[in-house]
Amino acid sequence: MADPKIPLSARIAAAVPYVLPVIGGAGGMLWVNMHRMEFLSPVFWIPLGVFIGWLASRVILALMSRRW
Amino acid sequence: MAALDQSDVKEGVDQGTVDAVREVGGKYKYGWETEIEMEYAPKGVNDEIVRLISAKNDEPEWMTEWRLQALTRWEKMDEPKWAMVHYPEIDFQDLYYYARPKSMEVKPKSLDEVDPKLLATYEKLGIPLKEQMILAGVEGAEDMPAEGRKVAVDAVFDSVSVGTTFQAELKKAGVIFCSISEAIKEHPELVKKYLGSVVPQSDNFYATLNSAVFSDGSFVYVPPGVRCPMELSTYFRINAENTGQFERTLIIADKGSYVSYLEGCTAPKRDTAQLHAAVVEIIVEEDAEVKYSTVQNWYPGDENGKGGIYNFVTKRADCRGDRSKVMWTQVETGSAVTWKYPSCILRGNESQGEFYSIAIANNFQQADTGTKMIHLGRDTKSRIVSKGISAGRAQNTYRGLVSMHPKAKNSRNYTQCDSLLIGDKCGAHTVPYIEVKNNSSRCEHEATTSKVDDEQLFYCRQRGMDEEAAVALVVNGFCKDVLQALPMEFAMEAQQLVAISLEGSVG
Repeated sequence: MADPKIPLSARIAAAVPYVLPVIGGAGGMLWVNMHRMEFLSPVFWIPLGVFIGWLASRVILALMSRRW
Repeated sequence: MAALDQSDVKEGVDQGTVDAVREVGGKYKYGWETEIEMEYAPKGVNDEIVRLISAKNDEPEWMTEWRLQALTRWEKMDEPKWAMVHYPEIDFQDLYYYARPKSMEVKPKSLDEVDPKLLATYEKLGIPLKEQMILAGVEGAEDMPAEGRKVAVDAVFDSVSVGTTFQAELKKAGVIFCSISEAIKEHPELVKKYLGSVVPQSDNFYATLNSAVFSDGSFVYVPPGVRCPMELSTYFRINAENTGQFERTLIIADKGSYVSYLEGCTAPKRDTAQLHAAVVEIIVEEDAEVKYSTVQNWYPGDENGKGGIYNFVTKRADCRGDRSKVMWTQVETGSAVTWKYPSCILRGNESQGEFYSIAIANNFQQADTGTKMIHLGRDTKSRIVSKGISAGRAQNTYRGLVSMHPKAKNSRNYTQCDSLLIGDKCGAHTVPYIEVKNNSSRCEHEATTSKVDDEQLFYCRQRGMDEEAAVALVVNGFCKDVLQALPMEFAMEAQQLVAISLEGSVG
């Protein structure tokens, strides 16, 4: 069970840098599969999804640190 | 089973498996025959027979002339021998080219008038009652509320189309779905314009023969901007002995339209081989899309390779308009000999062609199948996924052509061709042709050949599955890319068919 002393924002901040790149990568994979006749390369699109996820996590963390 | 003598059996394969393999030939579910009084045209093919077929269908003079032209061309042609299939010479003058149930001479007006044997045939083939009434040609049945899934069916029994369901409902959407013989009478302008425009009369030996003697088949016209409100399908049944079936299908998808079409076929078990030579033409205009699926389940012959259907089919789609799309999906489990290459002519710019195929050959079956993707327009794309499964002493050949013409700039093709071998007496052959005549197009070709792994089977059996279920699981996993491309209604059916076709064939 999560430690009640650790605030929710800190727990989100800890998870975001891991969760968003994974979601981004999965999104890249989905994109490739949804456009099978576009012949997209998973070697490009999955890392791009991971990178976008990572970038989004940095933005979210920056915004969170500014607010709290 | 001759294909699996005791000496052929690998060490470690249990008796149950051997027995199961022996039974495979006897498992064809649709091998029964309807004993019904038939009316035949005299045996053989000549001017008189062609005129007779034309007269039976009440065709106009231009159609008879078209047929006779084809016959003249056919008489000068030689049977092709280049395919990797071997079969005894066919005596084309010893076949019936026209056979229809006598009860279909006059269209029945009520269920009471319908030949009960014809009704029982539909029931046995699993066609729902509502459809059954319409297939039997009962007037007014189309206005009854539809039950269950909505799939319009055109049923072809030997040389005649028995009936077409949901015609009225389709008409409301502007879609024409009827037999080709009806279309020749009711919509001659469309038939005249498109018939033979994709597969010309003299395209190949069997297509030319078909052009001369085709008796029935389906006609579909989807007007501009219309999405066909239901799946369309045609069910082909060969019932009469020594009779060839020569159906002709013509599908026209006008600008911005969409249609999904499925064909199924079965035949009775017989010791003598029967001929089936069909032609399918698809015209796809600008922004239109056609999905054509086939579940081919003709009688494959017995375990010694006796009997079965010789399936020589010409199927071609012409993507005439820009951004038009066509998708061929086929599950080939039946017929003794298959010779079939559904093709796409990608004429319009940015047009797309897809081909997904599963070809299963067991016992002494032979399948020489594949596709042709002809890229003529710029930015055209095609994808080919072919899965061949061979068991027993079967031979399975993938033969494909990808042609990029000089004007097909920036075109793409991806071909995946996988073969699975079950046993050590079967064969898998891959014959890909790739022609690229410009330097901005890309073609990719992947091919694999594998066998059902003992470890995979052991893993499944360890978890309580019997051998047949384990093989079915492995094979269905191998075929999943193609099964996923089938319409939802038929994917499950095809999955079961794949399993049945290979029941017990582990060697």
